[in-house]
Amino acid sequence: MTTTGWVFMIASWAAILFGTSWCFYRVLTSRRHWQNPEEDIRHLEHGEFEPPRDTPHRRR
Amino acid sequence: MADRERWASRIGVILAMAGNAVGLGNFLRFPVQAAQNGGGAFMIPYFVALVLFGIPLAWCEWAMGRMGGAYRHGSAPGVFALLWKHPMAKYLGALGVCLPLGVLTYYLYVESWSLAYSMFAMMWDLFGVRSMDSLRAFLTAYQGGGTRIGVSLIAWVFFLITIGINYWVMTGGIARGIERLARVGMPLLFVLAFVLTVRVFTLSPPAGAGPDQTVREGLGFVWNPDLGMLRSGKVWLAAAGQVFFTLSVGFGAIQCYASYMRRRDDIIVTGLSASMMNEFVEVILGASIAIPAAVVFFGRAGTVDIARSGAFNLGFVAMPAIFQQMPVGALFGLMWFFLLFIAGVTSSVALAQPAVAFLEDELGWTHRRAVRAVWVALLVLGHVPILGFSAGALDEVDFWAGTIGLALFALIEAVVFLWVFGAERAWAEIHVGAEVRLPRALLYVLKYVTPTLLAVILAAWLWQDGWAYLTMRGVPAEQRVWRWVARVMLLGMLAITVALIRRAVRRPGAAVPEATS
Repeated sequence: MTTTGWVFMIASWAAILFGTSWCFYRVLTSRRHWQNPEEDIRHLEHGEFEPPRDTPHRRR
Repeated sequence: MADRERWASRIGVILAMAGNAVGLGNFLRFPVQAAQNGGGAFMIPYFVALVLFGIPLAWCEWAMGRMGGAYRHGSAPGVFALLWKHPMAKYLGALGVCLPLGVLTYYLYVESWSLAYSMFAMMWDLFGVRSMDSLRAFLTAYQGGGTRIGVSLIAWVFFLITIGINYWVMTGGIARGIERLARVGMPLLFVLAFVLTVRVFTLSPPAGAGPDQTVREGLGFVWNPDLGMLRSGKVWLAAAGQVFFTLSVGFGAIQCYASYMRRRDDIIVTGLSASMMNEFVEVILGASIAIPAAVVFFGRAGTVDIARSGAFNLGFVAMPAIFQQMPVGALFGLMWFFLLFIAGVTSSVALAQPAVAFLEDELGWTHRRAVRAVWVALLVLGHVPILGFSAGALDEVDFWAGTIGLALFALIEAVVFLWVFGAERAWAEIHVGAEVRLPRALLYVLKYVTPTLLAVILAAWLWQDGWAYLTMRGVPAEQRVWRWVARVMLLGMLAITVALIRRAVRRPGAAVPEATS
């Protein structure tokens, strides 16, 4: 593996890791809806889904 | 009327969408493409294509799907009829139902191989077969090579089991079936891929190995850049094609999954999360397993030969040969094949869902009836690529449905959404409920660059391979019958879908709106 090979690999991994981390930070810290998915689906039957409770996004 | 089914959790949507995108190609196609197209330099056109065309097109599919779902349309015919008030619109959407089904007719067979090999590795240590030649002969025998009917009994049984597993998952519906599969399967896939990556990184070269047979050289095989190749249009085309396939745009599956979201659910961060998860699996994990391991055991020259012989040989011949040479290789073999099976099953349920949604939403069928009809059809049609495997029926279906068809449908989607429905309205639709705003420059990229790039890819594929495939140039006479059967099957699927759309339009209280309504 050449030095430029390492540079390309590390830069690509860093870009992907940064993008993935940013996305999941936004998703996991969002309070918009569905904080407890298990509870949401426990009482639901196919075709009779109730919309999950709306909570305002905290950034708004 | 009962509410349309919904995803139960946001993370469930992301995992299901990522499961749809992550497939065999992430672990087998990407590293081969990178190694053959400039190594690390390949990542420059790859990232450009990802940003300019892959992710924006995925956002368009998310937006179209979520909009369709608000009007109880989960498949392309209904969505297109909403976007374009023209009698042709819903018939153009027929491709979004029958193309994923066409791909599924052969995808299920390959998926069943990985399930079978998982069992073989777990229970019988791959029957003690160890050398590359023996494993190649083993795969050929498994595929039915040399049998009169063209399929082995064991391959057929595993095909049926795979159909049964998919059917069972889909009878559970969106939240209880597909979402639960994704919430279990995707974390498991990550764990398996991570363990295999660590194992590959700690591999020792076999006795008598040359100086170039190290993990470092294996990574170099994938990542050492050949910047001169950036001047080749073929490399840019290969990168765009890889991005197109890896994100699963043009299948209609993203659109269908997104239709089970609520009207004001964010699709920008959610869609980007699913795409990034796919990229994580492809670029970080996918590129670190098969090719580096092959270089350690077979050297650079051997790996070039393996890569040229195709993804099936890399996944089902070279990889088991490697695992068979390491301590507790059966366990790692099991992990590898089960990893491929999870990647396969999370994609196959996504490919079947547009047809299920079409029957439910447009024809008013119950979920159970729609699922049963789709999987019975796949059980029957899946025998065409199986029985005609040695005659190239699988390649034929893959080329027309899995390559040309996808690019064509993606182009139609882009034109209908961005030009017919209108770029400004599309932009507003993407931003409904958005947690972040996209830079407005992307609107112009979406309107001009994305359709142009799609048209170029489609034209290039047709130019390179289209005429040769159409005329079956170089295909032996004995193979032509099965290839024609495969073509007739695809055309028949399209004709049946069109007929069902006509029936949907004419039924009382039609869900597919007529252009004049």
